[in-house]
Amino acid sequence: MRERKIAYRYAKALFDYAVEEKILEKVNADMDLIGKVCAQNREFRLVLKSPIVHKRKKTAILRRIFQEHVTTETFTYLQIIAKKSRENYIQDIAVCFTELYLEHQNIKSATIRTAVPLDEPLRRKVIALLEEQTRARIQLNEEVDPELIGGFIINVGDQQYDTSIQRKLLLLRREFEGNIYIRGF
Amino acid sequence: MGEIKPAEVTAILRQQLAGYKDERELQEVGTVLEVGDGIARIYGLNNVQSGELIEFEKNALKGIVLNLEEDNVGAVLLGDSQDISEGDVVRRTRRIASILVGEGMLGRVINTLGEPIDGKGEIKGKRYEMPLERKAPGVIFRQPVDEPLQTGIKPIDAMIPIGRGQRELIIGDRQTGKTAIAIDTIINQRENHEMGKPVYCIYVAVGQKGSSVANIQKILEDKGAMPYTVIISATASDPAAMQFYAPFAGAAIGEFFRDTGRPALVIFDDLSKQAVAYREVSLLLRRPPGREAYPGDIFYLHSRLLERAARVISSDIVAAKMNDLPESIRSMVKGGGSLTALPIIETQAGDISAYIPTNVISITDGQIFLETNLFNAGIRPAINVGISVSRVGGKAQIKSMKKVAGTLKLDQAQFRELEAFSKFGSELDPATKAVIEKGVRNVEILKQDQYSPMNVAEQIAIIFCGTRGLLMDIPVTKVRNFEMEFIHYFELHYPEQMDSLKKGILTDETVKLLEKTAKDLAKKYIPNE
Repeated sequence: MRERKIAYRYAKALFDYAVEEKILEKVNADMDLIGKVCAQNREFRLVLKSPIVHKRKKTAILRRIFQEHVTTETFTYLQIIAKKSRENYIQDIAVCFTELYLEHQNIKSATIRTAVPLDEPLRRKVIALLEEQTRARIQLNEEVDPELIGGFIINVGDQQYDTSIQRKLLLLRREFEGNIYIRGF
Repeated sequence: MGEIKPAEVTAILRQQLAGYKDERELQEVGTVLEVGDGIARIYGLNNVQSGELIEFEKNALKGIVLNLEEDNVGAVLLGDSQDISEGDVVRRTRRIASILVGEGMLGRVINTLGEPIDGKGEIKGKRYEMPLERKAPGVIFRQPVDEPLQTGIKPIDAMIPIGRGQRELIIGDRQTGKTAIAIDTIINQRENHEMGKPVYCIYVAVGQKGSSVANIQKILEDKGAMPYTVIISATASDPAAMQFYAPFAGAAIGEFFRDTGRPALVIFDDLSKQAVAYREVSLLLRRPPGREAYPGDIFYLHSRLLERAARVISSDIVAAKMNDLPESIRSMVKGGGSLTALPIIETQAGDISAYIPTNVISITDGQIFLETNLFNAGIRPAINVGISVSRVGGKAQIKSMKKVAGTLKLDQAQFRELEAFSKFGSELDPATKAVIEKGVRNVEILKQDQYSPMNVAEQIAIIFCGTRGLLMDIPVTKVRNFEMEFIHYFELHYPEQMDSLKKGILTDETVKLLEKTAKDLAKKYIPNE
């Protein structure tokens, strides 16, 4: 999150290029893959970040891993990144790219946290409601958090809709702490 | 202690539940990226406004948004940052930072957020929400300063008069009696309070020692000045944000009185420490530093604060249309109120050309200079009359004082010029000698003890003696004894003359009586050879 500025610029460049060349779907799949590889391999991330490993070696590693699996455009792009010594931002760039892609496709990612897992009809209902509200397609992530006790918390972007019992109890508790009783009879 | 009846318990629960609102509606949230040194950087909160109050979900700690950046939001914390950690949720409150103000605050010591810190329990009575940052009243809602604010300090009331709605800077090195002047001014408002026309006083202590604040509270209590005074304390150990917002809280309380048609006086002690606190926060928020590492908007910080001191137009109809009125007091607005500000600035080794002093000098309507060498020479209050001015107060001085003290400032300027000559020890012509003799005695009558402000009639009486040269025969060391006896005598024998002096009337009869009394009493002090 911290290096958003740099990552955003690189991601935007690739995104615009992909749209222009009409290869957006392919590139998105590539970036998805790259993001996943980074997220799953801590050592890979460390190598990219390390200032000791020589640039030539990093380029070689990138080639060995990705050349076979991504389009030529994406691979050239990776090489440009390496050339500019920004290889340690690859993961951030992949995340940013996904954001741009979702925005372009009018898809919004939403998170729902509930005390118990959602069942299918409820899930469909939630998605339908959110799609109506946001006028966008919804990609729903689900989390189960028993500490909520009941209700749910939905996050879309920086909006939050919180109906959890946990929060109600917290608010009630604060009210009791602050509101000093005045005898009214 | 009696037993708690079941009915009472239900009543308690019912009441508390009534206050509890089910806040389920859509909220805007962000997450903490980093926190430390009293500031937090937050990701998200895309629609938050600058100056908005935000709340940390975890412990209901409040913060104020100061920086809106491309990918994060910078906010100052109004409390301890210890419990906050990375990833915590922050909510918008959609409220601008504000303080709850009411009459119940009088006599209390509070912090920047308006919470009592004197251990006397909750603040009572109805309270009104006043924003910390508020635009000053526009031109059409003001009128010229025309009513005096009596400080009870002779050199000030006679030569550097302060009017209600004015902003007069008190400036000087450490230990020169800056706070003493402010405290004396508060004590002197007791007479107004007793007459039922109080001038509400707000003393804002910024970055001071807790012990000094306790001391001031004790003195004000002893002198009976607390019933019309509010003390706002942000001591040196409070977070920097609390320190630099404290004067704004003081101004907000003052505005409550000002906009409801009453006179108020606010003392900012001191703005140099507030500037330092603001510099700290600004640097932590990575705003570019300027001269002396202060941020670029340090001038605006002080100018917008002091601009809120104003004399409100006397017409209720016009005043009711004032700009930026908070909704909470809209129905109570009256004209004719005023907010006088006495900011204090501490200089280093008399350097008034440093950044903050020059800024505040240019913002205010005049300044009172205090000097270490005068203080050490026993001239207390240690006011340097030559360079102290009041740019608007002259119009507000009462007539009798203006008549009597009109020449005093000029006389003293002349005296100081000639005094330098006399130090050569050469023979002086009689005219020069007379000026010097008079000047020395005037310096003597302008001396005054701490915590003993004088009412305006007494001041006029003794300054009359000084400017008319009635003290020429009295030895310099005896002048203060004469002063005391003279005032007592005159008050005892001619109370109605004193009353008219206070009202601003100086009749020929009063002049004659003053002269006669002075001459009669002076005989006692003339040494017989």
